[in-house]
Amino acid sequence: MKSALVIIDRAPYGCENAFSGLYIVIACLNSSLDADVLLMEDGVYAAVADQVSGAIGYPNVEELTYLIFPEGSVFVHERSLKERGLEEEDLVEAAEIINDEELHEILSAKSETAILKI
Amino acid sequence: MEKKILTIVVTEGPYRYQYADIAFEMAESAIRNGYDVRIFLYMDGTHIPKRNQAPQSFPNSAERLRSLVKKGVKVTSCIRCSTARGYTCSERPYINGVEIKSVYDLGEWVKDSHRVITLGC
Repeated sequence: MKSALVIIDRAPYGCENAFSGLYIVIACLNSSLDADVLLMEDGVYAAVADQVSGAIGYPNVEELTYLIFPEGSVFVHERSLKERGLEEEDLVEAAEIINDEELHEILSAKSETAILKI
Repeated sequence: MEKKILTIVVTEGPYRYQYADIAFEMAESAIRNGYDVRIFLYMDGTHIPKRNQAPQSFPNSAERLRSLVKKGVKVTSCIRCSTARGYTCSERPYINGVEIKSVYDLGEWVKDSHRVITLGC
């Protein structure tokens, strides 16, 4: 494959998927693959700024987004964001909000993309 | 001619969900169709190769995986996920042929693969 897109649709901390999904993006980037993450549905919470995970002793997912950006993109699905009452200013700097058409354009522009839904 | 590579990433454990069995069926089908198959076990998927499973009502997932290993399927379990669940290399917790390695190896596998499938919820 020439690129990878990891899709995360679950909120961080409630389950392991967001943390582990972001690690797959980091691993792909480490292998010189063009790799991005798409946060949608409850997955958009992974891009919320100023997360404080210390109280529950879990690793901070927000910090992982900075291990992806700028080499890879942290795409945040616009409609999922709006449905949850979140705005761009609520998100980490690395977040790039995209709508469905932009997502289609991004995927169309790439070839041989592995889609990993975590 | 070089074989095409299929990588299957399994993120759920056996029995509670059917994902492991679906992965095995896919792997066997891909082998029949000339693919070189690799299975990466991630998160709860790292329970699948545990030795001494004895399910009463379901096919034994470790035994099914063992038959795939005999057919040449490479199986790797994520070291972070395995260790968290008590499966450490020094205690040989898994059936023979299953390697415990880093998620960074998955990055290499994705790069080498012609198809990548994730199974889990």
